[in-house]
Amino acid sequence: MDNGDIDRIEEAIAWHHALARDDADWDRFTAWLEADPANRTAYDEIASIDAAVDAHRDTILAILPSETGARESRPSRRWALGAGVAAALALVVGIPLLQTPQEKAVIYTTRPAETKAVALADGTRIALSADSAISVGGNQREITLQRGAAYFDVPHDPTRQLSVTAGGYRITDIGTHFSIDSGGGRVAIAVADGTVTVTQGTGGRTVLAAGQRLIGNGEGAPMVSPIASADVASWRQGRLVYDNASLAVVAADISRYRGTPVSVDPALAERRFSGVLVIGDGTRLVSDLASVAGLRVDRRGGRIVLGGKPS
Amino acid sequence: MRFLVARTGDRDEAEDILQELWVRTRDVKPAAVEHWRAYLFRVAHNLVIDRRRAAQRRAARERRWSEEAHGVMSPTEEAADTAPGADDAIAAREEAARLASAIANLPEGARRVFQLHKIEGHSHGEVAAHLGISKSGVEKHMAVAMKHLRRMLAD
Repeated sequence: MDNGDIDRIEEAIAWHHALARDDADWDRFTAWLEADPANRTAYDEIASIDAAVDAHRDTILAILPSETGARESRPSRRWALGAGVAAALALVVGIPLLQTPQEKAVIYTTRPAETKAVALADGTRIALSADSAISVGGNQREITLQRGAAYFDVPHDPTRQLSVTAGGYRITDIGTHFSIDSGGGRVAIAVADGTVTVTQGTGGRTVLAAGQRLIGNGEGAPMVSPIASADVASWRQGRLVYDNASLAVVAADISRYRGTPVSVDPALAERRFSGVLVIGDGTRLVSDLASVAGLRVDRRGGRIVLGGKPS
Repeated sequence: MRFLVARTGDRDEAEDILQELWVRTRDVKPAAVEHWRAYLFRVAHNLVIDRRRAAQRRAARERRWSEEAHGVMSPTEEAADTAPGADDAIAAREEAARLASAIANLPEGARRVFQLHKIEGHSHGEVAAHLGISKSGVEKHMAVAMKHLRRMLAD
């Protein structure tokens, strides 16, 4: 590799860093790409490594010893956990294999803009989205999503009786990857791969296969619609993907990532939104949504209310 | 479009992505033109990265398949369609393990910064405060880490 290539890689790294900013200069980036086809190749390499690390962050976190806490030799220099939405801090929590028969449910929660990976003894892995909570009880066979969203990776094992409950729905026969989102007055269950059985409190049963999503409010017949597997729990890749979602649902998601309540003028709560929001550090979500959906942002104390634009 | 052609180096692919961008944002009404433009760039940019990742995974799967089942010389066209999901899970774990070991082998300073920022999710400012270095020091370490990772992960 000659010096030109090394410079190129350094430029690509600098661009990669710069593009994450709000005021990224896309025109200059385009010009840089056009200046030499090798610039594009260099940028691709850097962006791919970065995306691969992001995609496997939870697993890598579980493999590598933590850089905070455990290895810190001087206890006086305690790690300060950033307040607010600055840090999307992830932790892996392992649950000991042996538990007493009358074990209490263990509750895992995340703060706004924080994600967490939970590993169960049977190999089930759960990624917990921002400002979410699950309880794990019944000898790790009863999981309840109490609020927010989670993604489940459950190794196939027909002898296991794992069930996941969320807002009036009970999910069983699991050997798959699926996500549950709650908020905005509804629950959405989406399957990325394999199948699950969803039972409603009142008795209705639905078998959901890969590429299907069930949306319901716990009463009445739920709606089943298609979803691209890649869009299931897209928050794990730093994006919120919506297909005809109500603004109330979008606002509930944004609230979880920002850590401050975002609500929608009741007159607009049922208005539909389709599109992609890039999560980033959470601070851009409101302005992005407002500008693409043509909404007005009102700040009232600590609250943000999205209203219609006067026409 | 000019950005997408520059970014992908391929007019057909750029058109595909533009199409996808259109599908994903067609129900969205542009309000503030300035933000709208930046928003489209960001979404387009993410779509390109997604495609690169998907292509890499497909290539890895085909390579594995042909090596395991057919020997290196065989055609791989059907392989991509029949590879089961379990295989993908194994591949994902392998990729994660490969990344983790590359990260563990970074030069010490770069490794700590990379791990704190990218893996444990702390902001540049927090990492700088934690390690008692400047923010530009954090950026330098990040650049060193990326350069090393690129070399270690090159096939």
